[in-house]
Amino acid sequence: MIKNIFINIVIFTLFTVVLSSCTEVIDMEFTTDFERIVVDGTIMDRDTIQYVKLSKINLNDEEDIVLPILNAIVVVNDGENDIVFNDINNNGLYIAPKGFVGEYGKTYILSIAKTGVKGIDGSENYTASALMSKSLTIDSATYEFINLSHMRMVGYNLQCWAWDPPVRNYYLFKAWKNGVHLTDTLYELGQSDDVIFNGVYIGGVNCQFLSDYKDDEYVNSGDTLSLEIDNIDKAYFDYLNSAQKEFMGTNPMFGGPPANVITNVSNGAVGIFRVYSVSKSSVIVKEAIRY
Amino acid sequence: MVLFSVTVFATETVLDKKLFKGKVLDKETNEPLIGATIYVQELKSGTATDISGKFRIKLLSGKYTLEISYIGYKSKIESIDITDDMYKVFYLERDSKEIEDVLVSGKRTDENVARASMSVEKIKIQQIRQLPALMGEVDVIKAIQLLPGVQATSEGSSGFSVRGGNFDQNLILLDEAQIYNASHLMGFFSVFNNDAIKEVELYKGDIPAAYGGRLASLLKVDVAEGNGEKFHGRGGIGTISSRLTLEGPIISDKTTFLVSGRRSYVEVYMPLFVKSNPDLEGAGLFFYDFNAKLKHKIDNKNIITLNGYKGWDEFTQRSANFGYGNTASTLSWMHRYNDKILTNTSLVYSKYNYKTAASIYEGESMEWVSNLQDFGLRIDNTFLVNESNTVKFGVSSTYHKFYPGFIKATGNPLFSEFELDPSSALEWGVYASNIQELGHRLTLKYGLRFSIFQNIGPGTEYEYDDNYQVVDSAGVVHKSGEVYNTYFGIEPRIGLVYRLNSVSSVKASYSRTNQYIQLASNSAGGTPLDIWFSANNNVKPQLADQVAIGYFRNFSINRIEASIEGYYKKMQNTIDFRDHAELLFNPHLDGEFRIGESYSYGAEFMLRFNFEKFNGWASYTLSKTKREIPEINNGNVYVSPYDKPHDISLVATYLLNKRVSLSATWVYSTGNPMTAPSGRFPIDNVVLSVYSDRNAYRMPDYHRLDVGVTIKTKERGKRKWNGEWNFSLYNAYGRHNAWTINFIEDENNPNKTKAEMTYLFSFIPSITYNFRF
Repeated sequence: MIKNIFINIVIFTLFTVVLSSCTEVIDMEFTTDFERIVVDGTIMDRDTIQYVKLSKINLNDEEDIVLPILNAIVVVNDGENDIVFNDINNNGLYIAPKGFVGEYGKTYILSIAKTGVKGIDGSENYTASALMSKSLTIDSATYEFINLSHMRMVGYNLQCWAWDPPVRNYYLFKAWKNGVHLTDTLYELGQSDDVIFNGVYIGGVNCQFLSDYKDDEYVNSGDTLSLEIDNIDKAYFDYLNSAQKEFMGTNPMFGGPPANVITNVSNGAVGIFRVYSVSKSSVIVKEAIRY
Repeated sequence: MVLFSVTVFATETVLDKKLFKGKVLDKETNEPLIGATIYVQELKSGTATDISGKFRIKLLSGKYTLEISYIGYKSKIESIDITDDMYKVFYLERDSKEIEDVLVSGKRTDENVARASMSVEKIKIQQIRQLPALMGEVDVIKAIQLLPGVQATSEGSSGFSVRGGNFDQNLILLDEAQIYNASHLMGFFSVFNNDAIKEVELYKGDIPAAYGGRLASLLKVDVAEGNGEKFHGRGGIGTISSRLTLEGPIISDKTTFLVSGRRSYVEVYMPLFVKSNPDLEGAGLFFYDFNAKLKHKIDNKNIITLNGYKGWDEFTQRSANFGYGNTASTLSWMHRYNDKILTNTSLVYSKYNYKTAASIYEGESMEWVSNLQDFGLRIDNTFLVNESNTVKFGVSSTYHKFYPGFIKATGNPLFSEFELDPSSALEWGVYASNIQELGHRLTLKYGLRFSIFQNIGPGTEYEYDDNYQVVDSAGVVHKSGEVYNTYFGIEPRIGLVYRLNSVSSVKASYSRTNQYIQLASNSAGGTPLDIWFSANNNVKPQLADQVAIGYFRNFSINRIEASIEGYYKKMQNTIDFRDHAELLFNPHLDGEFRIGESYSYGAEFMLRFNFEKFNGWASYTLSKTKREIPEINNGNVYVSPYDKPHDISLVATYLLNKRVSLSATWVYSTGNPMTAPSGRFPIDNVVLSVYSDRNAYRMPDYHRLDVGVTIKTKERGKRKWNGEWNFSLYNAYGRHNAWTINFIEDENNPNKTKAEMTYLFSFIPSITYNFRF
C-alpha cells in the first residue's frame, strides 16, 4: 500500500506537471460478446448474513445492466458438510441457514449449478474456493488529525497497533463511525499485504482516513471511531487491487491494457467469493480538532 | 571461434574495361575521406570511397567528367582520359560554409541501388533541421518516425516501433554508448540535441554483425566533431528551450573540440496553467543536455576521440520531485596499421538512473532511486583483403549492472528501507563478416555473430510454480563474481545485392538477432520509471529471424530513389505481461511475465526526391504484427500494441529562394489497437466493466499535418553572424488525435458506456531563431 501511495504520488506529479490535455466523447460501437454470470458472495467469522448474490450481465444494455439469476442451486462445502444457500426472497440473493458462521482454517468451496448461463466450458456450473485465515488481534486503535489542505487531505487517520503474525497475510481495512460502516464502496476500501512488515509490531500505522470533506465521515467530539481489519486471502486481495485499478481508469503511460477484474470464480464468471475473518477495535474522539 | 568458408564462384571477365583506382583525401590533413563520392557524369553513375578513402571503378576507354564530392567539403569537377588502368589521388578542400547549407545538395550517387545493405535509412541532420517540429524542437527521433516501417508508439512520443517490434527492441547508440531512455519531458522530445549531431542511421533489419542485443533495429547517432580550421558557434533560441554549440581547434588543427548544451524553460509557462489547474501551484519542470567531443589526431595512423553526454529531466511539485537522465561516455582509439587494416578500440560507459523524493505527512518522507550502468569494451577491425573483399571482425563485452530499486523512508513507523535485488550480467559478442563483390553485378554480405550472456553474482534466483507464485521467497543467493546462468546465441547475417543495371537492383537478406535485456513496461510508449531486466533462469533470451527482399530503382539521374521492401519476422520468447501486472517495485518480477511467440510481416514503399529546390519523400507501409501467448487472451492470437496496418508519411521541403524554404509533413496511420468493454456489472457499490479480447478494437485513425517556414536573415558582406527564423505549426488543421480512450458511464443512462478520448494537442505554433558564427 505504501508502495502504491508512493508510485501514485510520482505519477500524479508527472501528470499534473506535464499534461494539460483535453477530452471529448467519441462514437464507438461496442458489442457484448456473451452472457456472463456475476457472483458476489461473502462468508465471514461473524454471526451475520452469509450470502451469495447471483446475477447475469444483460446483453440489452438499454435496460438494467444485470438481471438476477433465480432457481440456481448454491451449495458451500466446508470440508465436512454441504451448506445449501437459499434464495428466500426470490431476488437472486442466496442466504445461508441461520447460525452458519465461518471458521478459521476451513476451506470453503462454492458450487453453483442450474444458472441457465453457459460459461466458457459450455456448462452452466461455476465453482470458487477460499480459505479462512486467522483473525488479527488488534491491541488498540488510535486517531490523528492531519491537515494537508493543499492536497485536499484534511481529516482523521485511523491507526492500528498490533503484532503481525509471521506468515503471509493480506489485510483489508474498513472504518466505522458510531456503528455505521463508512467504507462500503470499492474505492473507500484499503488493503495491504504484509511483505514489508511481516512478523513485526505494527505501531500506529495509518490504515484508514476519514475526510472532513465528506459529510458522513466528518468527525465530531464524542464520536466512536472503529477500525476493522479483515484477514483476507490472496484472491480477494488481487480482486480488490484490480477492481480499484479498473474503476479509477487506466492511461497508456502507466496503466497497461485494461483487463477483466481478477476473480476466484471459474468458468468465465465475474465477481468475487470473499471468505475472511474480522477483528475490530474502537476509540472515542475526545475533542475534535477544527481547522 | 568463428569459421566460415569463402567460395569465389567465378572471375568476371571485363573485356575492354580499364580499372580506374584512386583515393580521396582531405587537402590539408591528408586524412582519407570515407564515403566520398566519385560521380561519372557521362555514365550518370559513380562509386564511393571505402574506409581508406580508396575507390575503384571500371571504365571503358574514353574521356570522362568526374565530380568528386563529400559532405562538408567543396566539390571538385575534373576531366580524365582513360586509356589504360589508372591511379589518381583527389584532394578536397573543407568548405567552411558547410553548416550554412540549408539543404543537402541533391545526393546524386547510386547508393540506394548499390549499397550492400537493405532496410537501412539514413537522414542527414541538415534535412531534419528543415522539418517542422513540435514546439520548434527539431528532433532526430521524430524524423525517424516518418520513415517507412517506423512508427511512433503514441502521440508525441520519442518511443518508436520498427517493423512491429517493441520500443525496447531498438538498440540506440550515441557514439557506441547505449542510451536506455531516449526521452525528455515524458517523451515529447528526445535526448538528441540536433546541433551536436552529425548523422543518424537506422537499420530496420539486416543489422551489421558488429552489433546485436536487440531484435528490431539499430539506431546509430553520431556526434559531430569539432571544426579543425577555426572557431565556430551555432545555436538557437526556441519556444521552450535554447541551445548553444561551440567548436574549433585547440592549439593546432590536430586537436578539435565540440561542446553543446541545451536547456528547456517550460517552467516559465507554468503560471499560465496554474489558473486552470491549482494542483500546479509550485510545480516546475526542466531538462538539459550536455554533449562534448574531443578529438586528437596523434599522427596519420592514430586518432583518439573522447565523447561525453549528460542529460537530466527534473519535475517538481509541492510535496514531491522526480528526476531522470542518461549519462554516456566513449573513449575510442582508431589505429590504422596500414592501408588495409584499421582497428577501432572503444571504452564505453553508460548509465540511466532516476530518483524521486516525496513527503506525504510532516516528518515523514521517502526517497526512491533506481539505476542501470554499462561498462563496455569493443574492438572492431576492418581488413581490406583485396579489391573484392572487405572483412570486418571484432569483439565486444559489456558488463551490465542493474540496480532496480531502493526505497528509503524517514519517519515511517512500518519500515525504513526496502531494496530490490541488484543483479549483474556480462554480454559478449564476437563477430566476423565479409562484403564480397562477385563481378560487377553481385555483392554478397555474410557474417556471423556469436553472443554470450551470463548472469553474474551477486544475485538472487527465484523459482516459480505453475501459477507463477514464487516457490521459496528467500531464493537462491549467488556470491559476487559467480556465473550462475549462461546463454549462447548464434546469429547469422546474410545479404545479397544483384544489380540489374546501373539504376536498379534487387536485394535480399536474412538475419537472426538475440535480445538479452528488456524493459518491464506496462505502457505502449514507456515511462521513465520502467526498469530494464535481463534474461535469467526464468526468462529466456528473445530471438528473431527476419527475411527481407527488395527492389531498388533510381530515376532521373539518381535524383529520385524508389524502393519496395517486403519482410517477415518471427520472434520467439516474446515477453508480454499478465493482466494487472505489477511491474514497479515487485521483488518477484519474473512472475508477471507471460512468454510466447510473435510475428510481423509487411511491405514498405519508399519514394525519395533529391532535387535542387525540392526534396523529401513519400512512404507507405502495409504491415501486420501479432502475438500468441498461451496465458494471454485465452491463448488466442491477438494483435500487438504496435500493429498499425496502414502508415503513410509525406515529407517535403521546398527552397523558395536563397533565403526562404518551406516544409511540410503529413502522417496517417491506422489507430492504435485497444481493449474495450463488452459489458458492465455492479459490485461493491460501483459498476465495473467486462472486457473484450485483448486489443480487439482500434482507436480512430491518426493523421496530422505540420508545416514550417525557414527564413534566413540577409547576408551582409563578410559578416560572420548568420541567422535564420523558423516558424512551425504542429498539427496545422488541429486534428484531435486520440492519445488514450477511457470508458465512462453515460450521465443520461447509467447502463450505457461512452467512449471518452483524451487528446494532447490541438495546433501548436512555435518560433525558433537559429544562428551560426
